[in-house]
Formats: sequence, C-alpha cells, structure tokens
Amino acid sequence: MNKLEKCPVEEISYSTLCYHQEKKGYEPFPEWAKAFINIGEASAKLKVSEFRSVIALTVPVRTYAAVLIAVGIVKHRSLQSTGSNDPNEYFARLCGLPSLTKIWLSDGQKRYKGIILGTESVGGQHVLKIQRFDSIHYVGAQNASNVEIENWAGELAMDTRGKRIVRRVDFLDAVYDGAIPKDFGTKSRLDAVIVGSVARLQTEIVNTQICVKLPTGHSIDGKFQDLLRTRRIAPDRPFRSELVSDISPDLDCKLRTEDSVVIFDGARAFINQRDEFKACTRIVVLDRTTQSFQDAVDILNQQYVNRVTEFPRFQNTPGIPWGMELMAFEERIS
Amino acid sequence: MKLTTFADTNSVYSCSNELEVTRHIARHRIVREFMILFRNFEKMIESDIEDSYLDSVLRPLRLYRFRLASLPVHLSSSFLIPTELSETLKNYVPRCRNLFPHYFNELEKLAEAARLTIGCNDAPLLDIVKNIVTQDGPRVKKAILVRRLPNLELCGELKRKIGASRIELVTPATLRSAETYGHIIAIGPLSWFPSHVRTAPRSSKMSIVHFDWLRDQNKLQPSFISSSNKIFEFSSNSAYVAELNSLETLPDTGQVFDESEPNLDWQSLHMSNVLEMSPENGNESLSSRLLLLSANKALYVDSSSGAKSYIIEQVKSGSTIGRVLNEALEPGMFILIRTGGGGSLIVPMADKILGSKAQDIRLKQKQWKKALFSHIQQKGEQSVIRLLRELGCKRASLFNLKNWMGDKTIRPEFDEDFLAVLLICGLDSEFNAFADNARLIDRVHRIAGFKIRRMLLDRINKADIGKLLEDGIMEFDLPGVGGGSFTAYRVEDISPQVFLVPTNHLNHPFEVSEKWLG
Repeated sequence: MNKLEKCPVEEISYSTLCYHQEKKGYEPFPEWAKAFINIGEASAKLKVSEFRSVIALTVPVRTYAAVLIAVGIVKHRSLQSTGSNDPNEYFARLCGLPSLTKIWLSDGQKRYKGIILGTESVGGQHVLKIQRFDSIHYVGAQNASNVEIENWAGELAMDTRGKRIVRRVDFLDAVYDGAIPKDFGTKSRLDAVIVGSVARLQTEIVNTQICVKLPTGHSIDGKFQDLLRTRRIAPDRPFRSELVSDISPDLDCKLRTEDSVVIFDGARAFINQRDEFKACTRIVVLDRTTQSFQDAVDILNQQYVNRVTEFPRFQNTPGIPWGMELMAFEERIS
Repeated sequence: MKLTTFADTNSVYSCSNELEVTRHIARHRIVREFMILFRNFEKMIESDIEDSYLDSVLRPLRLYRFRLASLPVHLSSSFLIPTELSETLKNYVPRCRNLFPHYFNELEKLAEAARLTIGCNDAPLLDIVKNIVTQDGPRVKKAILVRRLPNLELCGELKRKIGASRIELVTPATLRSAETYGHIIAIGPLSWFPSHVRTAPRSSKMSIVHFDWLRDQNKLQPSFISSSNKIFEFSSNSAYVAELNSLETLPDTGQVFDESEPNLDWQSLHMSNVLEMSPENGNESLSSRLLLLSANKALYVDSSSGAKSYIIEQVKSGSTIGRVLNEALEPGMFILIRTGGGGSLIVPMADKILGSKAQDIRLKQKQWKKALFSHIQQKGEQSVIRLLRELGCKRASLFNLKNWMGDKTIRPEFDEDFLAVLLICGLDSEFNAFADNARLIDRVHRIAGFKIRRMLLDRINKADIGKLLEDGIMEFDLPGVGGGSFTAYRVEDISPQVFLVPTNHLNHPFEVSEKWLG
C-alpha cells in the first residue's frame, strides 16, 4: 500500500478564508488557492521514510503558491504537539544539556531569553536553574514545557522586557476550525521551509490582508504571518516556518529540518539549492514564465524516471487550475 | 515590476481557467505568391545555403518576410522594409547571373515578387486586427502581441491606425508579469512565441492572427513526462477563417506551409558588435551574457557568479532600485543602466561634497599615480612588478598595476601593497598623509553614491511608471551631476550562450542591427 492511501487528499473547508480586493472588499479564497493549501496539507501527511517524496507543480504565476502550500503544511502539522508526550522525558533532556545552553523561557504572556546554568535540588525537588536578564529561575519537570531550546542571537543583557507572545487565538481558532493546539504560537518547530526570493515572499506573508468570515457574519482580520509564524519575519518569537534565500542558503544551521517540508519557490531556487535539505519532503513550484523553467523541468523529469514509486492521487486534488501540471513521486536520496 | 497582489494572482488563474483561443487566417494573393517563390528558392539552393553571397541576398528578404508576417501594418510600410533590402534587390540580385547562373531566373522572379509586395498598399493583418478590436468595443483592455518590436514609433503608428483606446503593443517579455488583459491579439502563429504565452495566459480571450502560409503547432506538449497529453485541452475552442472581401479569391494551390520560427541570431549579433570592440588600457575580457532590450537595444552583462545589475522593483510604497544577480535576470525585468554623463557620476558629485578642498585632494591622489606611471615608463612593467614584490607587495601583478594607476581605483586595498608602491615612488615618508587622503576619497565616494541613488529614486518615483511599463524604456536624468542620466530598459530576451567581451564594453547598450532570422 503506498503512503498516500493511508492519508488521502481530501477537500478541506476554507470557504470562510477571504482575501482583500481593492474596491470589492473581502472575497472568499478562490479554488486555486484552496488547491494549494490542500497540496500542502497532503504533502505534510506523507510519512518520512528512507526515500524522499517530491511534489512538483507548474503554475502560470509564481506569487502566493508557496505561501499557500506552507499554510497547508503548518495547518496539518499544528495538530501534532511540538513537545514530547512525556514531560519527564523532556525535562530529563533539558537537564542533560550543557551549561550555558541558550533557551527561551515562557512566563505568562511573554517569553524571555535565558541560559541554562545547570541543575539543583530545591526542597527535595530536582529543578533546572536558568539565568534570565536580571534573575535566576528554577523550573521543575511539571513546567518543562515552558522552556524551549533555541540558539537566540544577541545579548542576554539586552532582553530586559521579553517578547510578547502573540497567538491571535481568535483568528487561528477560526482558520483551524477550533482545532488549534495549545502550543501553537508559544512553541517553535520548523514545519515548512520556503526557499525563494526572501523579499517577495516576505511581502506576500506580511502585506496581504486576509480575513476569516464567521458564521455569525463577523470577520476577523489577519495575515499569512499569523498562520505561518515565519522565523525571519518575527525573530525571537515562536516559529513554525522559515524563509531561505534562493541565492545563498542562509538557514540557521542549528535548526532541525529533518521533519520539515521544503518548498522550492521557483526554478532558480530548485536548481541552486536542491542539494540542501536532502532528507526533507520537497515541493517544487515552477513558474512557467521564468527563464530557467525548462532546466528545472528537465531535472525533475530525470528524477521521475528514476523514481521508486509515485503518488498519482495528488492529481485529484480539487481545484487544480487549467494547465497546472502536478507530478508526485518518491525517490532515493543520493 | 508591478507588485503582484493576491487579486492580481487571482486574475491570472482566471485567465487560465476561462481561456478561449480563436484563430484568424489572413489570405493575400501577392504575399502568398512571394512566399511560394521564396520557399521554392530556398529549397533550390539548399546545397549552397552556406554561401556568403546567397546569405547576404537572402538575409534582408528573410527579415522582410518575418516582419510582414509579424507586424500588422501596410505591406508598403517603412517599418517592414529592411534598410538594405532595396540595395539588395537593385545591386546584389543581378550579380547572381555571374555567380550562380542556374539560380538567376528564380531569384529574379523572387525579387520581382518582393518588389510587388513592397509596392502593395494592402494591410491584411491590420484589417483583421481592426475588425477584432471593433467587435470588442472600447472598454476592453487589449494587447497586440508581437514577436519583436522594432521601435517605439511603431506603437504610436499602430494605435493611430487602429484608432482604439485601451490598446497596448506588447512583446512576450511583457506577458511574464502578472498584468492581465481583456483580449490578447497575437500576430503570428503561437509556435513563434515562448510557450508561456499559451500555457500561462494573461488573458482569457486570445486571438491568433497569421497568414495562411504559416503553420501553427496546435497541440502543446506537457512539461512533465507523467502529465496527460490532454492537460492543455481547451474548455472551448473555436477557430474561423477570416476572408478579406477586398482581395481577390485565391485559386486553390494546395498547402504551402512555412514552419520556420523567427529567432535572434545571437552569434551574428555578437559578431557584428565585436568587430567594433577595442579593449582599452589592456582591459581584460570577461564572459558575458547578451541581453536583448526594449527600444531595439542590446547589452552585455557580466555572467560571472556574484555579478549584479540594478533593476527597478515595485514595493508597497512605490518603486525602488534593487540589485539582482545577473544570473537571476529574467525577461520582463527593468534593468537600470547608466547612459549619460560620460565618466563616473560619483567623482563630480563627490567633488561637489568636498567643495573647495576637492582640487587639493584630487591632486594628492594623482601625485602617487603619476609617479607610479612614470616609474613604469622608465623601468618597464615587469621590472616594477619584481621590485614591488621585493618590497613586500604580495599582490603585484600586471592587472593590479593597471588598476592601481587607473582612475577607478582609489588605492591598493592592503597597506603593505600601498606602502610598497609609495616606496618605489619615493613618497613613503608621507604614507599616512596618502592613506588619510585615500580614506577621505573613499568615504566621500560612498556618500556620493548614496546621494546619486537617492536622487535617482526620487526621479523614478516621480516618473510615470505606467509609461515605462507601456513603452519598455524611460530615461531618468540627474540634473547637476555632470548631465548624468540612467535609462531603464525592459529585458526582452537573454542569450543562452556566453560571449567573451572586453570589460569596457559591459553595461553599454548598443543598437541591435537586423539579425533576426525569419
């Protein structure tokens, strides 16, 4: 049984997600946009194996395809908790970290930079000793989920006020049909990586006005950033996705990408950076109007010839626009 | 260049989903006869096709054939007739009698047919276009798509002739942006155009207008080998033949098809330009790509990795100047090139900032450069390089020596190299003074560069960007900076191959000679 049969591509309801159109106001997301979200979600469902999954698609215009696919990926992955199911196991892992490891410590509606100083016994309880800007904090196993390991940049001394945790619960709740997990917006995990023109992608993620229309008739405004939590756009805040330049791979090498889905946004991104993120499921978005379109197609066709298996059901994704080609297969990682 | 919004993106997908293509076939007796004779002649001379005489005769004829099939104007329009065609018909054709007597009669007939076509005032393609435009009405935003736009005057001429508002003359590069139209009227078979014109359409309504002697490829092949061949089947597809009442009814002469696709002969374009190139001051040659620009210009850009060009980009707040890797340049982008002012704009601007100190500072700079130059004159380059190396200059080479003496280099980058240079010039006791002077020049040059960029941005933001999008070219002058100006050109095409070009020929736009292979 191939992997997709366990996780068939289903149409999910996004009828309330809207985009803003000048002079017309908010309009529901069109079919093509829903198709990209569905493709993202279906690719996130593919189980990681010894082989690599590749989903390649041709589009008439590059814009928004990668961002919408990333929304689908993050949406599906957000249903899985970021931390270990066993808090004691996670606490034991934290205690095993070397002294001076950089972490984030959540406290109320804020998160602060911190450094692990070691472990101590307080009142007979084994606790983690953490240095914040101006104080020492002790964290026990029951609060271990407030600690997040991340190699933040800058100085501990500069982080006097912490970073406010912005969850946008109402917006997320409406988009995710009430299924929003507790740690979305408070915990980091790299679910999706988009490799492409950072400036353009950033504009799409931050400047596009979207909203969710509720059955009550009310609507809640938002941005793609509320759904994607892109690390580059909001550094020092919990993230779920990241943008990587298609010119030089500038991803923080300390980030774990093995479980991420990587979206190559454009032929150039794929041609230049395809040797990176080797083990990740990859989605390649090819804009038909670009100069290097055919070069990327040739590479993908060659990979398809050497495939292990293919996922023809991706082509049944609802809403695929006219002329969009979609090829999904599994290949050996060379 | 325009910032693409979600709504723009939606418009593009709507074009794909609702695409309807209509074909309009033009039939014209005189043009058809010219074409039949041309095809027969090309077949006849197949074994001598490489001959330079025959090539020189056929090139202007091919260009004329390409233009008459690709531009919707009168057959006698000066826009169609290559400059050397009359010379070819008058003087070159008769030489065939001696050079290739067995071809002479057929060439004579072909030349006569060409003369007849040139003398005809009919406009078969234009008549069809006018008809389509009238049916659409004035409110539909239309684009006439041509393979190649020889000049801007043609745009104005065509708009006048068609007499409709909301009409643009566009090339395939324009259709790479997310701009959409109510109706695109393509002149020539679709197989002449890059495949994205049909696979990523920018209008839900497309009309293809071409002569009956041109064959079009009806079926598009999918890109992925796993895709179904039906991927590009239309939801609805209609085609009809437009007969022109004003023309004679044609006898049925069978199908005469020409399948040649017009291409730019990059090699030939390069060769015609390279003959005029002379490396200055031993400038090295660099591998470069040739860009075909709007307004019939071409440009060499450095193709080495890391080389960048300026482009005009659209951001939320307006236009801005961006730098992109040359390898990332795409047709449809607007490249910004320094085109006026002569020499560097940085120096006059920097001197303006330095005020009364400028002269002394420049003289100090020239002092060591002059001394180095005269030293080389006396001792020779190799001997100076050897001496510099003995004095600790690790980067002494012929290339660096020329750079250091040149106006563009302020000083050798490393102190040890600069000191060695000053040592052989006998100026080492003033090392600190020369180093401070160079540091000041460097700083002021940076400020000048920043100011020029700001001025240019200001000009770009005040300019009518809509006009730039339509014309594909716009000049931005910078008053008060030595008459300096920049020009934005739309990149129409990029050579697939690279060429070796002296560095002083990079980034200088030049006129494209008629190198289209029809």
